[in-house]
Amino acid sequence: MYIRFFLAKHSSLMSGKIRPLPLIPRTSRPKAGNRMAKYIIRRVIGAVPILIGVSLIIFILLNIVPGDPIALMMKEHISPDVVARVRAQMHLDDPAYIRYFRFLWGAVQGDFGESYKLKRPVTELIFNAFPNTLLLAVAAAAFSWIVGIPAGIISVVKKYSALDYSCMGFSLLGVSVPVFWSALILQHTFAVKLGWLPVSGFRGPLYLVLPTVVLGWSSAGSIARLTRSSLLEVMGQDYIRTARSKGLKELAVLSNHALKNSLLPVVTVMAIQVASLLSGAVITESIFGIAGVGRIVVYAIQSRDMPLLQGSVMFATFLVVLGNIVADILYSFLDPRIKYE
Amino acid sequence: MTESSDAYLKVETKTVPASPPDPLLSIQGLKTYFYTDKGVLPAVDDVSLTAYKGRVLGIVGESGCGKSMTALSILRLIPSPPGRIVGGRIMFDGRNILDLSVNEMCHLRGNEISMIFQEPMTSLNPVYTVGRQVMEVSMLHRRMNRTQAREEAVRMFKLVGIPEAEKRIDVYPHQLSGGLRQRVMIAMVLSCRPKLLIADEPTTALDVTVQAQILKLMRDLQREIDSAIILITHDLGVVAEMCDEVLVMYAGRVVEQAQVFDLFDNPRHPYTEGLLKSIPKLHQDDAAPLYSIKGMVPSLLGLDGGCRFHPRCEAATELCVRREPEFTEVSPGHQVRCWKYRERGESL
Amino acid sequence: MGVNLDSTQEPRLASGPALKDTAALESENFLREFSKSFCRNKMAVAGAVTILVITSIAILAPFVAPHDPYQVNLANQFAPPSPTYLLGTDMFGRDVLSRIIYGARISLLIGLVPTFISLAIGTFLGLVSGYYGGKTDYLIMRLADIVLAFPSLLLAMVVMYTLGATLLNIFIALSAVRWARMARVVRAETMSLKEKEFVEGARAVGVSNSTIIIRHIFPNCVPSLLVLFTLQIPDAILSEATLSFLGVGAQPPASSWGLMVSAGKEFLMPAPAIAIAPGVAILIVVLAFNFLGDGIRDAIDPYMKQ
Repeated sequence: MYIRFFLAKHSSLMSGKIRPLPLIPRTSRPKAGNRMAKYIIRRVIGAVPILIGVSLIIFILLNIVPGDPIALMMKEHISPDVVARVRAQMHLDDPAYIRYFRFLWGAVQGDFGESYKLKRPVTELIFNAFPNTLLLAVAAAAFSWIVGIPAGIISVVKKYSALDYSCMGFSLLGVSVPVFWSALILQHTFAVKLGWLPVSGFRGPLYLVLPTVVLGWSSAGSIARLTRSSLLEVMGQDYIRTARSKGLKELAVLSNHALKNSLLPVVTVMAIQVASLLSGAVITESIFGIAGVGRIVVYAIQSRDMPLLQGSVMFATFLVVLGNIVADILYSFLDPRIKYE
Repeated sequence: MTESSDAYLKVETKTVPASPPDPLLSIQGLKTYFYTDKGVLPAVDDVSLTAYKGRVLGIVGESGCGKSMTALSILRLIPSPPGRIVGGRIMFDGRNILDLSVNEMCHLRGNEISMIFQEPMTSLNPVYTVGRQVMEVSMLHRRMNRTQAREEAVRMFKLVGIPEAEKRIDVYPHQLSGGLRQRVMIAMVLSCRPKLLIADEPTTALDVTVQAQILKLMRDLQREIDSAIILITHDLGVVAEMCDEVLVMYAGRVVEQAQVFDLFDNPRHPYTEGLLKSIPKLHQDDAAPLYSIKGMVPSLLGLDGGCRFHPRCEAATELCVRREPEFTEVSPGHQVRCWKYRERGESL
Repeated sequence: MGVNLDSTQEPRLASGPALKDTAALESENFLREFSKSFCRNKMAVAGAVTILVITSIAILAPFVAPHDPYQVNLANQFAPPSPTYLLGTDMFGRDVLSRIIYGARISLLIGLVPTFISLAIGTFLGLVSGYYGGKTDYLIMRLADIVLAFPSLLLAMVVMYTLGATLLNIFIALSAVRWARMARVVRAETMSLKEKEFVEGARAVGVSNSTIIIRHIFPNCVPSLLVLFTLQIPDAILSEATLSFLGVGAQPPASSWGLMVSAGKEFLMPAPAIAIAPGVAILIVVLAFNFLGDGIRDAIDPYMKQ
């Protein structure tokens, strides 16, 4: 993944200038495989300007903060020449655009500098924290699909029943409840008061349960709602009527004809999921004491550790862009209308 | 007396059998109502018809007159929260369709009674190949395995005139033209040699030249399979070309019913007369305005007790406003729902 | 080939009464139909009523709240719920209920204002982008993509880090983050409306581009904008609460609900109400807006499908 990041940025930077979105002419009737490869390449190349724009925004936001970073970094009073020397060493006096390109160049190579407070390379800190966040995010995403999609389907199949209302109620709550609050409540009830689950930390599978539920609940809710509305719309389509007129039983109509069509839009939600899972992870990790990227962000903000913040936010955004690309590719793979245009 | 429309419309002569064969489908007094927040819509109100093997029954009428709903009622595909079949009988092969269980219905659909729809693009599932959708029918009803079903599908494709059938089996609906998609629908529908084929405006969404091809295809196939066809359309030209017998519907009711020649030669109901008069003629005077039936199709909600056509009828009388007419037989095989012919089957 | 029986005739006007201006008739009709279907949806109505109640409480907070939310009384820390202090007191002896009532002001303000600002920005950019196309469209959409690439909470946190944690800055942060989604939606609608015949007709008659946008395209976007706006408000409220919870939003002694939960989380044992009650308040407001938004969307839907 580090290498991929490197390659993606490298190709564009090495060519000297940043290419705008290239218009690849449509050759007539290439095979599906070729077309997919071209599409993937187009998407990846198109992501580069976005990442560059992201880096620009991050740099601008974090480097116009007034206040001397040196003074923030060091604890005791130091003489002005030491300050000057350290500033020169850290190139803090160079004009903005040079600093930006240095930052960008470093980012491409995966070097985000060193944390002010923790005195270790930012990249190392992020890489140590990332697996935890990944585990949590994957678990939460899986939870949201396993719970959300059946909930949506049930609510359509058993429309207007108690099951329908409870599924939709659960989903609506998931979308409406503040993550930090549900985290606290669940933690307090199940861990502190009932003692069924551990309170915080990350030392085994049982530690994953509460954070997963907390983080996944809102995703599950929106997936359930989306599945429901998508399925309802599909069931009203003409081809469902055709399927019934062929003599298929209602269950077969649902599973063979309706599901694939209605789940296509749900796949696109996967792209947004990455972003929202990362946002939610910030809180979940803080409350449950999980040493992940989200926790790093919170720590960086609270201790005003600029390189750490820069690096972790950049990394998080990269993940989102990556997730978008993957989801786009997956979707185009599944929808024959796009695959065989 | 209305003009004869023969001069304009090309009517193919068909051999009509001397005595009609046994009825395959007999609908008696069908009522399908829709219960909406705004009130009850009698979309199909006391409709009766009979369909015979090897013959084409046409149902004509404007949009919203209930012809599609009648067809959907036969297969019990009425969308059920608002709609419901509330009365009548549909006798098919000696059994009342409305009494059948869901499983028996599923056995009937696609197998003994099949239906093709108006919009072939939206009627085919976009995420599966056309071949798979055609194979589905034979695998379901004739218990074929994949290989057999595939061979059968290729055969059907060739039968309906789809070129390069072997390759076309594996394409998706959006890759085909409208005419080809409709042929796929026909192939799908005929896989099981249904006894009754219902075609709901099969050519409305197609170009005129393609229309002619599809209609010819249907005629040829009917001759081969000897099924009964119920053809729903709003196009009188299609009726003239294809049908043996015609039903004219208006606002949920049948207003006239006759053999096709009889209908075009001697239209009795003012609505039918109006329809035929509305057809622009080649030899018409250029300066004369085109005839159109005055008024608009009524909303089914605000129906008063009288004849549903009376606001637009030039021959409406006070009786027409007060009471709805019953059927009268004006000549053998020719029925009209109009007060003009109430007692003795003759014009007043 | 044959003749078409589809009757699309207009009724003869000779004998009928004079018809009102069609546009006025249509919008009257639309409002009536819309209110009818909306009122049939009980949850939506409940949501609307709840929001009205809460808004009134927020506006009338000085009269409704039993105590001063900032009044510190260290002698009365963690008092349990009683008739005087309906939800008890917090770690500084302040009345929890009053703090919640005043907190409604912050939440509603943050819910409405930044959402409206981002709606305005997003609509403007979306209309321009969708209508004019070309380079403008490309630039605006790239910008939107960049903004959307950030997890929204992270971007808001970074903005707050840079600007400092004040109420005004929360407005800026939340507006900056959320205009992109609106712009996308408006752009999509504009692009599809642009192709419709009535726009071509207006252009053929010589109507200027800006007039077309303002008088023809924009009004048609309003239904979906309304839904989007209503459904983005709970998002804003949750964002503010989360930012305040993390310490980068409202600062003490403000009685933002998020801040209250954060302060109260240490004291769940002695006085759970401090942390739980504000969360319930957030939940109620957010649910109400969600019901309202869902109801509006369901009521508008059949109209849009026509």
